[in-house]
Amino acid sequence: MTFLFSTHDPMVMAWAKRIITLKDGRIAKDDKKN
Amino acid sequence: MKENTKHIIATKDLRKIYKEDGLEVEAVRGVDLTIESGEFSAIVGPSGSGKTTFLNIISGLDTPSSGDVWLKGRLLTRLSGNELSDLRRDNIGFIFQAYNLIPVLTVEENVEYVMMLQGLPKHERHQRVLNILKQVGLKGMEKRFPPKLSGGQQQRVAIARAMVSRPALILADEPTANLDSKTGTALLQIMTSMEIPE
Repeated sequence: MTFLFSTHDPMVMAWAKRIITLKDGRIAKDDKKN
Repeated sequence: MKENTKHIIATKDLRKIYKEDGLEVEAVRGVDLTIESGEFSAIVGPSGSGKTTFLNIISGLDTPSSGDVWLKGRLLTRLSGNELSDLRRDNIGFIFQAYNLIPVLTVEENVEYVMMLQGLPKHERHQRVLNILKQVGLKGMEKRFPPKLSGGQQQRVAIARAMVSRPALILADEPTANLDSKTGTALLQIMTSMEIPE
């Protein structure tokens, strides 16, 4: 199963393996954790 | 363009323009993104950054102004309304900030609903409901109604409802925003450790 969350919650961000940051409708950052 | 089917979601130059008081507002501005099977990803950004619009487009709840979206290799903009509804029903489980349970249906009926639309036999639906409610910690609460439950319990029902039909993708829009951090952590643990047969 694949999970994609939109969130402001630091706890969810800590849990996620990848953080995609949107800013003004564009991808500003795309960080994958090892 | 043919899309790689190992990607659950792929977008190409996705754009969404709204008209607001006669002005054009570009909420999504050329997003290229792929999400692979099995990922746990978070989309973050300030309010108004386009997160919810983006989620609504990739789930087929909203249409892009231009650009392409593939869900499991199928180009959404080429599908009819019925094909899109079926693809969404069979492949995406939604979890919302405000739970969005049906208040006049019991816990059991809320969870069973999508499987009824999918035409699963009653016996299988019942077994799946009992199994998943046990996994989310709501065993014995099958006959309760959502308004009688706490926020954390309602979100557990919503998680069970989203996952019981075994979709490829769970989309969650601010799912922990109304919960305290202990409840939110417990729900994340439940979701990521749940044993869902293929």
